Amino acid sequence: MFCSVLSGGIRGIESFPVNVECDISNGMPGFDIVGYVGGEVREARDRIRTSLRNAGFSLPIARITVNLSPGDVKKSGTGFDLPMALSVLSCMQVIDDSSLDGVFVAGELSLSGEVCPTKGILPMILMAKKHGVRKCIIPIANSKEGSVVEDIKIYGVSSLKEAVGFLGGSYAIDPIKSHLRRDLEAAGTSGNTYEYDFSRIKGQKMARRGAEIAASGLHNMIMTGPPGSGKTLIAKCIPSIMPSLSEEECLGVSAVYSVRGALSSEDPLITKRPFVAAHSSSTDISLVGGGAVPRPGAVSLAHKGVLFLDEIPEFSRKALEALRQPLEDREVHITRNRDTCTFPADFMLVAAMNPCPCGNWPDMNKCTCTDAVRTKYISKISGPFMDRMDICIVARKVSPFDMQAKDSPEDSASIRRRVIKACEIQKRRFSGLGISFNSQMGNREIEKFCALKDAELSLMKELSLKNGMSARTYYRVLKVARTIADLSGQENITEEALMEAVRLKVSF
Amino acid sequence: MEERIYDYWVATLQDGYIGDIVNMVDTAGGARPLFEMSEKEMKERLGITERLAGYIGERKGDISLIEEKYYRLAAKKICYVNHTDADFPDKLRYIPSRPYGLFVKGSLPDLDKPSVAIVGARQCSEYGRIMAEYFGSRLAGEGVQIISGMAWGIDGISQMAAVNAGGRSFAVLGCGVDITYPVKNRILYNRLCEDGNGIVSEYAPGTPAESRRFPPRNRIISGLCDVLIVVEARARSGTLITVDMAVDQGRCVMVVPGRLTDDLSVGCLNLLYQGALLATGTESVLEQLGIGRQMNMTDYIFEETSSQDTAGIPLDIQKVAKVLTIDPSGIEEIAQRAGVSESFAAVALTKLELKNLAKEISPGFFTGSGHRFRDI
Repeated sequence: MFCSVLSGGIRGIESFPVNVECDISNGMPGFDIVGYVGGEVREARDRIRTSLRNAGFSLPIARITVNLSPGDVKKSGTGFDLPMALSVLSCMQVIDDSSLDGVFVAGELSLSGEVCPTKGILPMILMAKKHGVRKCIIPIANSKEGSVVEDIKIYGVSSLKEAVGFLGGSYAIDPIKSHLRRDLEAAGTSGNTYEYDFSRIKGQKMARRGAEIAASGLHNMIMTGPPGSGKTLIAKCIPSIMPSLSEEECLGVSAVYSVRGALSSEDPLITKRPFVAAHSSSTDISLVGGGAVPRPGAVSLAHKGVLFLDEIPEFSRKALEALRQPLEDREVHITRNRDTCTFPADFMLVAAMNPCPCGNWPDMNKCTCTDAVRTKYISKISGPFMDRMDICIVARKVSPFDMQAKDSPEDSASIRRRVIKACEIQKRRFSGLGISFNSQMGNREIEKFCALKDAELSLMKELSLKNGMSARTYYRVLKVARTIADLSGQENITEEALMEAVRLKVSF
Repeated sequence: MEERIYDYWVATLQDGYIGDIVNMVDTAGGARPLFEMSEKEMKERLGITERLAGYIGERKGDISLIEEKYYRLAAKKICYVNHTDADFPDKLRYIPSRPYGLFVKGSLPDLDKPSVAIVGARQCSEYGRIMAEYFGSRLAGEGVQIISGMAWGIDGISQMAAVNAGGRSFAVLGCGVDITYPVKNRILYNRLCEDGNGIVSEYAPGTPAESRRFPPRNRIISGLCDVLIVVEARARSGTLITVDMAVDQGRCVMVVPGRLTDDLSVGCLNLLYQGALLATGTESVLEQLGIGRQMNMTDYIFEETSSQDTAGIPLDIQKVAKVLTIDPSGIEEIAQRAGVSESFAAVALTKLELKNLAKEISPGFFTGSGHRFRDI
């Protein structure tokens, strides 16, 4: 007797179909699981045997073989428990095998026969929908996450018995209604209230302006300033001025968190831009992702949002160097012996550092660092890494007068309106070119879209001579100037845009 | 073997803690007898400690190797001047614990010309930098030789200004004259090796820079000058060692004042309180050197920005120029003082920087460089 159930494996943040096949035949009694499976899948044998018994089903004394096909892709995770158990039961003719036609199943089993949540449900359901599946049976704790996907019936089960009863028709479960539209609408109408809003930041006008420009052109930004000047707070506020996530982006970000098992079971769809702060002791693997079974790192968790690195000179050089590739490609490729998986990593990097170890430079009456100490501190960040930072902002210590100022600072919603306008201009400009932000322009695009008129060109020449700009810096200033011009709705880069962009360049 | 080789050997003994080495050699009856003395004899006849005798004994080695080293100096364009030589600076002959000999790259200061030493903090403020530049360039322009320690900060800045003004400058190092310390001052080092300038040290070539060797070299800086000018010193600054030595040697000490609130001025203000002379400008220094004219306290060091400089600059940008001072200020403060928006201030500052009316001294901090030193 043979039967098969559809389930899914995870590679990167994508799911691939896995047919869970079972055969019960005569021969030496035993229970084997084959199909290039990882340790946690192999262990499922004991979980299934026990949970079946505790659910009231006893395994026949026969040879049971479970195969996960395709057999050449490594399968890991605990989501195969439930489909394996159901395919065994179907072979035992406890459930009708036709009831499993066009059904997708995933879930972990406990010894008592309970169905526990598993990771990566969202990409699995998206995959199932693509394969024409109509019904999905998933753990009840994951059911809200699964029901993010529209036009597919999601049934949450809490135990093996329930699943069997449901398939046999003796137990009715209502499909869970998709809440995608509702969530998206809610995010759209409430304009995404973020915990950190620019209305909380008093003073820091340069930093606000810099953040606005950076968010408009998706420029990477570095902030220097003494401790307590609000660098972290400014960084936390940046997601709140970025344009809202589109439906596709929401699903993409949620998928990363789903694979990490980091989605909330109550409110699984991520509609806010993520803010991820990595600690300076982070390893390269924790930043870009990896591991024996590749897991997304901080850069992927910050996909479509902000990755914040505080005290950047304290990061290990290896960790910072590892960031260069994702910054360039906007995704991370991790190769393991048989296959390569890809995690998205389209994020905005915001870094912060003190100007010197004591933090008071250039106030020489307070700074206690010698020149050599300061140089060493700054040189911990490699040149190629600094080359990827478009905007540098000097944050100042906020004076008590600023804190007591009566005028309320501009809130994020009004800044976001300007940012969205600038983003739309860029989207139109770059349509069909595969990029959508000024920061992503290559040299060819810069020459095309940042062409300067005579007066601006001679100004730029003068500026680059005065500041001793390298060709790289020259192009970066042009990119930032393009964003400044977009923010003020100008077609061409103006002298003012250039002069402001020069002030924002990184000069260490 | 030439006597001179033994003198050279004695000079290489200097390592930052030997007392009156000239006296000791005299007691021994000369450099050669000292070389030939056993450690025990040294202790008995010279009355030196066992440790010092052991140190000297260790450094003896093969005299022919020492000779070889001595003749190799010429290839490195270094010359050795013994304290008995005619070209040994007279000013150094009569100072307490005078050096036994000097290693010189380039030339020694001309004793017929006035010399001023300018010393101060390594981590100086923008004000200190401007003052060091002012005194260095202006005094050099008046034919005064500028002597200092080539350190980072005030020392190096004043020397660089002197050389750039076409004057002469001499550095006294706390390491061998063939070593650039700090390395960041390489350009200055190379300029000081050129004609007319010089690099001097009592330490043998190849001696690395170590903190214990710096205080003794300060007595040579103060010894070589007529007037010592202190620009910015913290309460416990190495500069104060130079001042103590200058006072011991009977040199005139002048101090550039600072604000009571600045850490970098505490040392300076203490000196003024103790009776050091106030350096109000080049004239006050020239007066002490006996070559000055009557000075007038109502004159400012700086000239006001003239209308010529600001010609063709829009009025609202001039407004930004007017609020710039020699104290570095951030763009936000500047915008607030000038009453303009931050992004306008950023644009204005870029424009002013192009016209040399503003200077970004560190990312985001500006001073007005529209000020020029007034002509004497």
